Amino acid sequence: MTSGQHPAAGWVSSVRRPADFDAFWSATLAALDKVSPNATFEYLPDRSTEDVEVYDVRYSSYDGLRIAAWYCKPRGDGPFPGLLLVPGYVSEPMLPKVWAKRGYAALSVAPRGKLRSNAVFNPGYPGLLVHNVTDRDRYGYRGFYMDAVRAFDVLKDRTEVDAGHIGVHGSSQGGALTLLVSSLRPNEVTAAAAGAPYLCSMMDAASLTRSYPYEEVNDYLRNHPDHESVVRETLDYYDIHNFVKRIRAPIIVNIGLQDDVCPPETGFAVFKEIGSMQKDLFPYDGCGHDAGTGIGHAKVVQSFLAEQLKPSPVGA
Amino acid sequence: MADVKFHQYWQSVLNDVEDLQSGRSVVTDLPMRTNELSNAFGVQLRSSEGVELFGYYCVPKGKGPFPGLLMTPGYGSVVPVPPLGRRRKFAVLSLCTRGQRLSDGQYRAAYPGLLTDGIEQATSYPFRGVVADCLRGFDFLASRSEIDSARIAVASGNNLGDLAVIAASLRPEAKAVLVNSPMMFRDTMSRLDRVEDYPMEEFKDFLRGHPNARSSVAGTLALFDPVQFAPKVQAQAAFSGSRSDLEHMQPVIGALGGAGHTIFEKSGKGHLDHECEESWLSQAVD
Repeated sequence: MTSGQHPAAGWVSSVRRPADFDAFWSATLAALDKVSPNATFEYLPDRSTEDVEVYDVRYSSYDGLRIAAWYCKPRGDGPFPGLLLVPGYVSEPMLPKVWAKRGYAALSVAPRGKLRSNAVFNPGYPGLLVHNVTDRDRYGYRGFYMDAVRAFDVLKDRTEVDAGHIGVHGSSQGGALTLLVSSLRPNEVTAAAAGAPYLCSMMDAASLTRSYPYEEVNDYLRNHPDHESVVRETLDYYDIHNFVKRIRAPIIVNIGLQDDVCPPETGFAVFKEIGSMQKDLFPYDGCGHDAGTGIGHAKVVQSFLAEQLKPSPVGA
Repeated sequence: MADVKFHQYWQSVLNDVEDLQSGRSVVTDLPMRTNELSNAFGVQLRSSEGVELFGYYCVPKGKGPFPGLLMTPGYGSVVPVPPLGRRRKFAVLSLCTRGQRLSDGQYRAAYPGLLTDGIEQATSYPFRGVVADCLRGFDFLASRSEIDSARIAVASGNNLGDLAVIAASLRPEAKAVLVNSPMMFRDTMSRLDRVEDYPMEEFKDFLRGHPNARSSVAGTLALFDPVQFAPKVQAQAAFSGSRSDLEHMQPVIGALGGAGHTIFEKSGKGHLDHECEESWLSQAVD
């Protein structure tokens, strides 16, 4: 069976696009613009090597929260292609030293709620997916999404970064954030690689799987059955499915055909919606949420980003 | 001499945990995580050095006794609610060891950071306490009337297959142990030149900043090498990893003292590999 014949390939999402979806996000981005980034880059000599400089980054984001990130770049003045790395749901972002060795100025962001950015906002895991889920204005992902967008802007503003060559990459929640940033910065993201994207067709996904994090929605609705319609209304504003028509950058997406965390149905559906003229889907049979990383997709991502962003590996 | 130091170090941990046996555990309902298959509880345990721990404890609906399962933590701040597949069969404890979220009231671990925090002093290295926490978790399961204490398994988390081997060695009454690669404490010092990514890179960062600490770091890490624990493992064991990971774990497998072992060489297809592991785990306690 080819991927196109897979039953999940023909599945149709039930997500709805609110009439004021664009207005909601324009207002949110405008609110972000009112917050000065005040980005600081602290050099960390013990984490740095003879090839790579490492920095502890802090910047201000939506609602004024300070957000942490790691920044690793090859030694020298550049210009270097930039790469924004966006994290999964439960993982703590690690230092992207390996990407710097490949020639990128790489920023790995810890949006609000991650350990280094949770002094004010700390809904926990499980917790984030349903934090204030009955209020679209206060839903936890509003600021979280903006933290990822602001991270892209912070990276783009670095003098040593070639603003004409900046990519975004991540898997799972990182896959969702890759699609999000590529949608909200359509003219600035140069290339994107999204793995096993989460936060797509969210309400459908919660009925297609019983694994966390989507199980948070099932837990919540089991305890608040009368909230289903308002939860759906909120999530429609945040569903990545509703953003991706704006994407213009070349993009690759990989999914696992037996993924019980982010169901492949939702991956096929969001891929169809992506607006880019240059997009490729890599569905992997026999794979779950790993989505092919163990059978060669990591190399596919590296090759794709190298082709699009033209880094010069350190020492090459 | 090294054997003496190893024995003394771990005997002191066992003594610490033994002193806590009369300590109370508090079990409270977690209705938000209870579902049609199993009841969910939050467990509070006091561990060595007075550290307070939290764990998710899920018990299948229906009449026990059930096999028990201790999920030892992976390397990261978040500890998962036990997955549904395990909740169907096991009374399962997913334990947040010291420093992880929900067990971070007295000590908050950093990632990166935990691997090298206090590493120059073996007695204060946080992983000494993490192992004690795992033993407290195992003892909690063994004390529960709804669990068949002769059928308790241990399963490792991400990046820390070591902990499952160590727990199964210090609690040889464990019936089964599922060890997922990689291991971070297996022959660590001699591997550092060949690793280039986190979390193992943490060791290199530390040694770059503390070049005179190499000997003390090596001494601490040697105490945690699972190869030293393997002979006292009595459980059936399964090791799952890539070919290179299995080669790395081979000395541990070869030193096992238990009731036989199974090796799963991963195909790289996560769903298929996971099914093999979970099927083995389920059958190993029957």
